[in-house]
Amino acid sequence: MRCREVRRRMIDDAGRRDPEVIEHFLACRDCRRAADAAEQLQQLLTTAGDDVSDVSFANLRARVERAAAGTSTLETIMIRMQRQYHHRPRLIAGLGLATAVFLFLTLTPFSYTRTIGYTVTVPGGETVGRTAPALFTAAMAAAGVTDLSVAAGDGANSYRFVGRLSESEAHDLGVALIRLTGGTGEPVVVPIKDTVSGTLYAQAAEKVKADKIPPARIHFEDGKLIIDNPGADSAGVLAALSDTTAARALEKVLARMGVKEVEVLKDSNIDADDSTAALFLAIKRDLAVAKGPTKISLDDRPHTDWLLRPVGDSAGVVSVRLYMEGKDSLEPHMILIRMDRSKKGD
Amino acid sequence: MDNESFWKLLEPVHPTAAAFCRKLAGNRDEGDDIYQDAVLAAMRKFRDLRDVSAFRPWLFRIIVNTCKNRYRGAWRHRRETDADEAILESSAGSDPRAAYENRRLLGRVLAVLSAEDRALVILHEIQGWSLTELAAMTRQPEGTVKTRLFRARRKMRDWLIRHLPESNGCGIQTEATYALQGSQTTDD
Repeated sequence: MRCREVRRRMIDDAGRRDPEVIEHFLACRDCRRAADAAEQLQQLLTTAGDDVSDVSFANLRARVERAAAGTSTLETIMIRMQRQYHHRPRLIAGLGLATAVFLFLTLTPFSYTRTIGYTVTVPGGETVGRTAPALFTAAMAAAGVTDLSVAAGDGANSYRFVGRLSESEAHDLGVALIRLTGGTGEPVVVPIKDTVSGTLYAQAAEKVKADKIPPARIHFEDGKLIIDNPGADSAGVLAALSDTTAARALEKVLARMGVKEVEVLKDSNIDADDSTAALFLAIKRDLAVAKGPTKISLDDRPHTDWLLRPVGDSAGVVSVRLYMEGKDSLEPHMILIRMDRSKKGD
Repeated sequence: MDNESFWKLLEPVHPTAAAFCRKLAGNRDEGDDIYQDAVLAAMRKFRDLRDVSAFRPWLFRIIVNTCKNRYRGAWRHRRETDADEAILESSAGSDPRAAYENRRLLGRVLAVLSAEDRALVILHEIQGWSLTELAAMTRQPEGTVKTRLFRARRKMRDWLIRHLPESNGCGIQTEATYALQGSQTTDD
């Protein structure tokens, strides 16, 4: 008898007692083991018995109704976590280890290097003027860029821009400085690195905080340094202009500001000896309210600086301060116009 | 249908359902947990039950699904009951140790099956459900249920072939006993 036939017959007890089948079992170990297993399985299932649970129906009902009525979310989560712990100990251990590693990496301070600004060196042997960096900073502030400071660098014609700006922005600032001072060539931009100690969490928090303030987008285009600062309530344009064009530009600027009449006063607080020449015009867009003819008179004689004061209260603009240095009618000049929100006469 | 009706319908089924859960889980505590969860789920879904006469297969279907969900995606979960617990649980009379061994072995054999197939085997082989009742519970044709039962038995038998010694003192016949039977047959 073949094994297949034996396996078919031995499904039931009678088949297993068949003489032919038993004879085959004596010769075939595999079929004998299969028969043994089948018999044992039957025995196990038969003797298992249909138990009756000792779970009290009343207790069950009370527990289920209590669970249905008042299982809080927290309770459910705790129960599930407990079950998970029992069912997946390796997974829970893995998660615990991962959490510990994460906390270690996040909360352990370590040193790291970050770029805090750029040193921009412009071609030419002249030393950076004393007032130029301060005026540059003031001009940027007038344009709403308050998180960027400019200082004289260590070398000749070297500026330190510290704050949130990209390398390309630093480069464009350098280009502007070269063009506004009538020079040529390309600036050399070197990052300023700072080593600090902090946790990953602190770094992330710092980044999140920094990202909340949109950075000023600075670029140099068509002879103008454009500062587009959507995060501030003002924007600025810095441009190189001659005296006459400066006057026209001023007219436009002040017209947009709603300034109808301006008187120019001399202010001698600014050092006139600085040879750096550039023109910074900062325009406050949000002040362009009033309409009407604008009358501006600019003195064409050399002055170190002027104070332009609008006549009357013009849309909140009380005074416009204009600084000019290194005046020469044929050369570009550095003029800073800064809008002050102080009241007239302050 | 209100909750009171639910509890009235559950009461006669309760003992066998609770025992089924323990066998299905292979563990007393786990089984009781599954049973409680399943009863809670059933109580919440009771309003959706259209035919009250189908309460028993409906309840057991929920129990099987609860068990499946509990072990979903997990590595095969088997927690051995400790000896004392198993002996207390055992209904076999005279030899509690042998009953415990058999119960433990049955638990291991059943563990090779999926929760659904385990449920079919327990209900059919131990609790005596008919193929028709199993078909109603699983919402599958009787033929399919029969095939699944056959395959489940074969799977359990294969496991036993692989894991059991030729003679383990639990009633398995040895070569000698077959030889004896063979000679008796010849004599007859």
